[in-house]
Order: sequence, then structure tokens, then C-alpha cells
Amino acid sequence: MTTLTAIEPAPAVRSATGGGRTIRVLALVGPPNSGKSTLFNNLTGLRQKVANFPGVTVEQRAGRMRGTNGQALTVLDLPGIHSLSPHSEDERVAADVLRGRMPGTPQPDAIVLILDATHLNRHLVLAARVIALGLPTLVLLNMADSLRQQDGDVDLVALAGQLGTPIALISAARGEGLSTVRNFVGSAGSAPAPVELPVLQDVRHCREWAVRVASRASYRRPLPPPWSQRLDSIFLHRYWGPVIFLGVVVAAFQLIFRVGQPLSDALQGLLLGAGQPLAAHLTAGMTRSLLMDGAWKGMTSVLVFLPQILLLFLLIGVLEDSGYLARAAVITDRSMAKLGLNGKAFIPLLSAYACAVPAIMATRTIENKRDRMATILIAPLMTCSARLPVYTMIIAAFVPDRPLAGIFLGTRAAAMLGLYVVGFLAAVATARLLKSSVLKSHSSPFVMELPTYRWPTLRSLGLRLADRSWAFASRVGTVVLAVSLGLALLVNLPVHSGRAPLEDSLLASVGQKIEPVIAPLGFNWKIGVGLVTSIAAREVIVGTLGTLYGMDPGTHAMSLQTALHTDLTPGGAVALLLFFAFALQCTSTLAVVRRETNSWKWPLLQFSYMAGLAYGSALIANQLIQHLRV
Amino acid sequence: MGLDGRAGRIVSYVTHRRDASDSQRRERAGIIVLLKMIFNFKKTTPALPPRRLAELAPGQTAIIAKLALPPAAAEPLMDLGLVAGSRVLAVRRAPGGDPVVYRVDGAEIALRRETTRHIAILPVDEAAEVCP
Repeated sequence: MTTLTAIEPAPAVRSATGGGRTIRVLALVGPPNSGKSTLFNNLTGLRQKVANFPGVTVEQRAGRMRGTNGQALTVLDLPGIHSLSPHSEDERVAADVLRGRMPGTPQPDAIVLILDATHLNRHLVLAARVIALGLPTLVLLNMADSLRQQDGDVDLVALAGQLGTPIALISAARGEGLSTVRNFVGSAGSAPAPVELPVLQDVRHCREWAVRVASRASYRRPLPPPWSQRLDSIFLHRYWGPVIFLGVVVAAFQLIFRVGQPLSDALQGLLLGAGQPLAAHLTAGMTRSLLMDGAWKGMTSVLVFLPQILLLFLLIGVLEDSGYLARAAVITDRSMAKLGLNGKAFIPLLSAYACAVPAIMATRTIENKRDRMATILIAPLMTCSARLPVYTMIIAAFVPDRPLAGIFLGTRAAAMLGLYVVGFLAAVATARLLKSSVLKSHSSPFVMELPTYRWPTLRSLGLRLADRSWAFASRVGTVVLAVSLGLALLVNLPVHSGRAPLEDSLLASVGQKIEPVIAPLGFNWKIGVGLVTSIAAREVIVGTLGTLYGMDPGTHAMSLQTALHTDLTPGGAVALLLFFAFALQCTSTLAVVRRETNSWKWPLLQFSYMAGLAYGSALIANQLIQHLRV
Repeated sequence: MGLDGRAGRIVSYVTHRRDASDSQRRERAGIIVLLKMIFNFKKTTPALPPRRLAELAPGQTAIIAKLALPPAAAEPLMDLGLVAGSRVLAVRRAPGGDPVVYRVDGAEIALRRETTRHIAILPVDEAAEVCP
């Protein structure tokens, strides 16, 4: 690709008005899955999730870039939209921002409209609506490489004349043609030249206009690649489709254990080794106990789960970017429909497996208010990545590692899979309960676009993992560090000469106060302290237990798993797993539900419901197991 | 089966459609089919063409006639190219038979049966006569 400057409309049709305005705020607009987020990343260097899955950008993001003459400007990345009609939350957000009606967001001075060159007929409808806003606009036709490879063509000069805006063919994924954007902002764009636009309210008229414009620009639509078709005939096959889908799910769990565990063990060894010279510098006493047994043990016990979490995000990333996830949505849709769930709920619920916070923000694409609320309420029941450290810790301590079905499924992976299923079933049951009572409604139609399969790029996957590692490490460095230090301090109070038994500490006396409440679940006061600290975030319990067992003379020398195994009954272990499967131990989730529903009623209701579910199921599990064993 | 039987079936089909609100174009299209069948019945014995998108079998193509859905439900579909007059190909069914993948305007989209049974279609050749 050698196009460096955009093709401008002929001077005769160029508007005489405008021009000379400095662009300070630039908005990126485009339909879902058009490569908008990739362009945003390339322009700003800011990390933003990129996926081959419609509807990934759920809130507008801002980044900074520099134009050709060095001026700094703000770039707004808007949600992917097909039109500017206010039917769903994300289209409303985009329309408000573009018209300068979004509080706290400056009105854009110019727009970069990115369209998929392989779907021009359809995407030009959005162009009509955006050009009608009258702001200086640059139209980018993305996926130039696909257009050429699949024998498509378009006359850019003719199209620029038809639209009255500069136009360029780019390939955002390969970073081709990005300089056109810098040139555009540098040249202080002018308002679009007056051209004939359709009646915007009439969708049919808009489409006729789009088809006419495309044909005048001698647009030849590329043929869908035959291999994408062939892949679909396998992945959506009547029998092979579901078999492959199940295989992919099981393989993902198996990978997290088979590959993740050794990596995690290696990291643990590394961190322990790194702690030795540190400890050597400190003299034995209160400070050393606080820093090494308290803070360091607490932080490292959480940090060692980084490999598993990165593997999970790598797998989700590959599935999303390749386009397989959209097929998985189609395969599972029938079951979702039977459960009374809105088809669009699938996307947020799926991303809730990574984290409930973006999932709850992604529910904005659901037009129906009641459906949206139901999805928000069940999202935290899906097994998010913060549960992974807790599950892995308990499973590694209590479940012996044996093959169940050869190399395909081990007992530990099966236990983990079971917990994911339990969370999913609880979500389904809750959804049915809500949909049959307070949130009864007719669901809006399910529409799932199936993008062409693409190879996930290393760049996108790498950025995703780096972003995730940073988020995880910063949580360990802040929340976990603070909690561990605070606990270590409480353990050392009241001050004794020498090493006092843990049971005499201030923390223990507080912990023992709550013990009667949790004793029926098979938990002792240490677990109780963990339950309290993990209200901040689930993985904090791992750090807390790391600190507590590290400071207890009885378990000081043991690994966290061994200490847990000696300190907890099997009934208590199962109860703890179930408690974490159901309880809403996450302040970030509560905060985002509060923000999205604009009231404290829903997050409080959700917290109490999930706490009740957690307590009840843990109680039943522990009592049952105790009676069965006696 | 004689003329009476089939004509009766066709007439009852035309008069007992669930959507009384269908456009006049649909009515005219229906009558044209009826007339065609009556006048050609000796030469060919065609099966009734599918009338709703849900009835379109994989591999078949048709033209969208009307979306009998409330605006909030219809507009997202129209944005994807499902508007009266556009050509739609049923590509394949999902493993359970529902949803079905359709190709519209070069893109593939999956739709549930609960949606496609509200979308009226016309056979390709007939649509050319009704709306040239």
C-alpha cells in the first residue's frame, strides 16, 4: 500500500466554507468489527481490546496522538454502530458525542469514519448519516488487503466525488495508510462538500442511495474466501460443530492446568529465590516478620497465578480474534433461547468469564431495559478470572492429580470444569427466576454477525496479555500489599517479646468473634478473615491466607497448599469452593453495577442474594459431607 | 388431486394468512402466484414457494418483501441489509436447526426462527415482476 495522502474530492465540488480550523478533538466512528479499535491502537499507542467479534467497544475511550505538524490532539474511540438512531445505549452514546451533547466530553472538531471495504454497500448507509452532521470527515476504507486479495475493487476518486469527503484505502491491522489520518488532521480539514444525501429517517431510501453511490464508484464486492466457508461447514456442522465446541472448552481447561501449573510452580520457585537475599538484609524481628512473612508471602502467593490468568486470556483472545467465538455463539444460541435469555446477552456473559466489570458495561448493547438488568444481575455468577487463583489453590490442595480420561482430562481440570458449570447453572436458574417474575419481557431479536475467519495477530494478542499482566500486577502491588501488611501488623499486636502464638494476636481475637457464624460451613477464623478481606477482590483471600499461614509458627515452613490441607476439612474445602462460586466478593463489580443502574438498590440486592446463595450452598455442602463421612 | 383441491388449498392459503396487515404488494403477489398456478397447472405441479424467511431452505435465495416486526426490532435488522427488495440466501442451519445463517449483502448473519417467521419473502423471479 503506497497511498500516503487521502484522495480528495475534485476542487470543483469542494466546499468553499470551513478550512483553516484547528482540529483538537477527533472522533473515530465505524460499524462494529470494522477495525476501528485497531486503528485507534495504532494511532494512539494506547492499548484497547481488539476482537474479531461485533460489539467489543462498549464505552468511548480517549487517547492522544500527534498530527503531521506536531500538534497534540485527543482521539475518541466510539462504540461500533450501524446508525445513529437511539435504539440501543451504545448508538445513543455515539450520537450524543458526535453532536456535542455528551456531558464531560468535548464535541469533536472532525470525524474519521472507518468502513469495511469488503462490506461497502452496507456500511455506506452509516456514511450518509455521519456526513450529514457537517463536520470535517475523512472516510477510511479498511481491509484494503482483503479487498485486493478477494478480487474486489473500488474507484476512490469517484467515491470521493460522491461523498464530498477525502477518502483513503487502508489496512489498519498491517498499519498501512495510517499517515493519511495524520495528514488529514494536519491539513485542518474542511466540512464535507455539499452532495446529494438520502432522507436519513427512511432506511430503504438510505440503502438505495448507498447502492447507487457504490455502483457509481464502480465498487466490486470481494468474494467471501472459500476457506472461510469451508471452515464454517465444519465448525457449524450438525454433529462435528458441537463436538468441536466441547473439545475446545475441555482443551482450554486442560491447558490451564497442564501448562499453567508447571509455569506457576516455576514462578513460585523464582519468587522464593528472589525473597532470600531480601530477607538476608533484614535483621530478625518485627520488621522482617512484617515484610517477609506478611507482605512478601501475601503478594507472592497471589502473583504465582499470573501464568494461569495469562493463559486464560490468551485462549479467549485467540478464540475472539479468529472469529470462532461468533460461531460458538451460534452453536449455543438454541440453549440460550430455551433458557429465556436474550441472544445479545451471550456476548456480555461470555466476557464475564474474563471479568464481570467489562461484561456489565457490554450489556449496553441490549436494547431491552429489563433484559439488560437481568444480564447485569447474573453476570457476576459466571466464573471470572479472579476466581481462578482461589479455585486453583483449593483444588491443588485437596484434589489428587489423576488422569480421568487419559491425557484428555485430569481430575483437577474436571473439578475446575465442574465449578464453571456450577456457576453457569446458578446464573441460568437466577435468570429464569428473574425473567419469570420482576423482569418479565419480550426479548428483542437475536442477530449475530459471522465475521470472516482471520488469523489472530501476535501484536494484538501481545498487547492484550501485557495489558492484563499490568492490571494483575498493579492489583497485587496495591490492594494485596496493603491488606497483607495490615494483617501482618494486626497479627503482631499486642506486641510480645519473641514470637507469640498466632492465636493470641489481636487479629485472631477479632477473627474468633466471627467464627461462630462460619463454623457451620467448616471454616475456621483464618478463612473467616480471608472472607472479610476478599470483599475487596476475590484473589485477596489467597494473599491473606498466605500471610496468615506464613506468620503462624505451626504452618510457617509449609507451602500454602499443604498448610491449607492440614487446616481445613474436605467438607470445608468444598464449602469454600462453593462460597467463592456464588458470593459477590468484588467491589469493582458493585461499583460498576451502581454506575450502570444508577441506584444502590440493585447492587445491594445482588450482593445480598449472592451472599445468601453462597452461605446456603456452603452450609449444605459441609453438613452433607460431614454426615456422609461419619 | 384435481384442480378443485389445489385451488382450494391456494385460496385458503391466501385468505388465512396470519398477518392481515400485509401490504398490497403481498396481496398482488399472492394473486399472481394463484393465477400462474391455475393457468399452468397442467404443465407443472409446483410446490408452494416459501413465504416466510423461516421456510427458506439452505441453498435457496429469495427477496425480502416485508419485516412484520415492531420498529425497535426491525431497525437493527434493516441496518444489516434486511430491507424490502434485498436478496437473501439461506446458507446453513446451526447444529440444533436454529438459528440459521443467512447471507445478505455479502455478509453472513445468524437469525433465530422466532425472528425470521415474521419476515415475508418473495421468490426471486416473482419479485422481479412485482417490483421491477
